Order: sequence, then structure tokens, then C-alpha cells
Amino acid sequence: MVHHEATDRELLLKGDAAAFAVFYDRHVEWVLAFLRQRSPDGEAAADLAAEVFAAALSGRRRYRSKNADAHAWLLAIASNKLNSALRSGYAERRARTRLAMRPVEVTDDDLARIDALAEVSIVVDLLQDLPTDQRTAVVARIVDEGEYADIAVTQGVSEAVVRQRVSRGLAGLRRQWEKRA
Amino acid sequence: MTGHRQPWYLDRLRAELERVAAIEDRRERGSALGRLRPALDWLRPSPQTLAALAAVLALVAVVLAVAGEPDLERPATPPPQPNPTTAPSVPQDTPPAYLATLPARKSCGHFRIAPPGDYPLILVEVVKGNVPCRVARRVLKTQYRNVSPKRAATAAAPWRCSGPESYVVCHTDPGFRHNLIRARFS
Repeated sequence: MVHHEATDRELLLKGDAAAFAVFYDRHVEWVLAFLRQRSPDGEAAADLAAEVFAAALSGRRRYRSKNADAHAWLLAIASNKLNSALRSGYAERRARTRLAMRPVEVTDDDLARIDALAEVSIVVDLLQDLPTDQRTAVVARIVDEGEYADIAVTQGVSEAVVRQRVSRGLAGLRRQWEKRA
Repeated sequence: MTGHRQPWYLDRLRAELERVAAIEDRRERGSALGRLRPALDWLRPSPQTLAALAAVLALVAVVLAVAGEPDLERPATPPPQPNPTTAPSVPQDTPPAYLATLPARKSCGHFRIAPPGDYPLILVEVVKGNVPCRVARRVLKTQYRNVSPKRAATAAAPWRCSGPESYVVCHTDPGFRHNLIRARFS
């Protein structure tokens, strides 16, 4: 069995199907969100994600980086596939063909979920740009749905300060979102 | 519409990746040489087998040269263009074979057009022109969702489509110029 705390490097070099599944679960959402933000539509992004993970599967035993986290490695594969697709107008199928992968259909529901995934990813990016105190307050109140009083105790400030940080954080997010749109 | 399915795209992609990863595992775990040897033995033919094989190949080559010469050359030359002023528009049931071999300008992915079991997935491709995938999918789906050819033609207008279910070609201009899209079973 694969331990869930195994590093990406261990999972890749282990080389079995179960280890790769854990690696896939760990990374697939951000890869798909990354591809969706830069692709013309969800279909292209889904097609590219399949190709990226097929390439990762093919090359997993050749992972040579000393880095235990394969984020950069996967990002390089995704960027290469994306650039190639943007140049040629379609996602290449080389890795999938080599593995004899069957096509995976994309439904209208899937396209909606892929779009939503990309939007959530944008919000997470925007959150990183907020000042730490505002980000902590927004996450505690909006994401974790905590009470103002509890957050105030946890953060060692008054309830009014927490309310102000959440308000300013949301306003900052809104401004960044509009700037991005 | 395809309807709601519980496992979504990423789950199905995961299942497919796991399947091929397991196959790769088995391939690499097993002794590659051990499995290769019987195949090599089988492939090592005797002189008699080689002679028989050469005779069969020669016969096939002669038959192809005599009977199939015009067909073999067809893909290399463009098909004759229909003359719209004199020729009545004869419905073309089967698109020219060379269209199947043209490289796709872009792929619009695989889609299911009916519940599983009724049809395999269809692969939608844009061969010529700047056609959005959304349009290509919509036009080609009309050919599978309308039982009557007349209704299918009306639904696809101004595109004109031809071909059997396993290979449909639609275009916007006679002579297969400008926009051209195709769908085939994958």
C-alpha cells in the first residue's frame, strides 16, 4: 500500500498504478484549473489535462529531480503541452496514443465543473495577494464559516477588528476580481 | 444532452489512467525477454514458409496493380469539382475517401451522442476553415439525432452533410472548399 504522506518523488518512482493514482488526486485539480485559465474552452483544457497526465505516467520512472515535490515538473509538462496546443490549434495525443488510452468523453456537466474549478482557482490566487491579517480573517469567516466572536478569540483581537478585516478583505478581492475581468 | 453522470470527467480520466498504469506495471514486471522469446520463435519462419509468403505477396501485388490502380491514385489528385451551373445537385451519399486521410486542423474531442451501448463515442474534427468547436459539434450532432435524412439536412443547414454514421463529413460550400468538418466513431 501507498502511504498517503509519501512525497511526489516517492510516488512517481514507486511506479505502480496505486501510487500514480495518489499522485493524480494530489495534482489534477490545479493542473486542470491552470490549463482552463489559459485555454480557449473547457474541452481543450480537459483534452490537455489527459495528455499531461498520460505524459507524466509515461515518464514517472524518469523523474530525476532532487525535489520531493513534483509541482514544478508537472507545471513544465503542462506548459509544454499548452504551448504546443496553442501553436498547432489542437492538443497533441502522443502520450495517450503511446499508452493506448481510450478517449474519455467530456459532457456538458463536466464543462461547467471545469469552468467552476478554474474560477475557484482564481479566487485562491487572489486570496494570496491579500495582506496576511485580512486573508486569515476572510478564510476563517467565509471558507471555514466561523463565528466572529470565535475568530476574535483565536486571533487575539476584538470582534470589531475581525469584522473590519473581513470587510476589507472582501472589498480587496472584489477590486482584484474586477481588475482581472 | 448526455445527462448527469455520477463520476465526472476527472474520475473517469483517473480510472482510465489507472487502467493503463496497471497494464504498464504488468508489462514491466513480467520478464520482457521471457515473453518475447516465444514470439521470436514463432516469427522465425522456415525457408518453405518464406517462399510461400513471397508467392502470396507477389500475387496480391499483381492483383492490386491490375484492378486497383485508379483507386490508388485517387487520393493524390484532387477530385473533380462539380459545376454548379450545369450539374443538378446530386446528393453525395459517401464523402470522398481522401477526406478521411486529411490531417485535422483541430480536434474538438470525443462526444457521446446517445446512451452508452447505442453508439460509440464520436470524434469531431475541423479539417478546413475557422470553425468553432461549438458549431462543429452542433452541426454534426444533427446528423445523428434526426432519424429522417430530410430533417437532418434541414437542421444542419447551411451546412451540407454526407456519409454513413461511422464517418460523416459536413461542408459549407460545394466542392469541399472553405469550411469542412467531420465526425467518426472512435
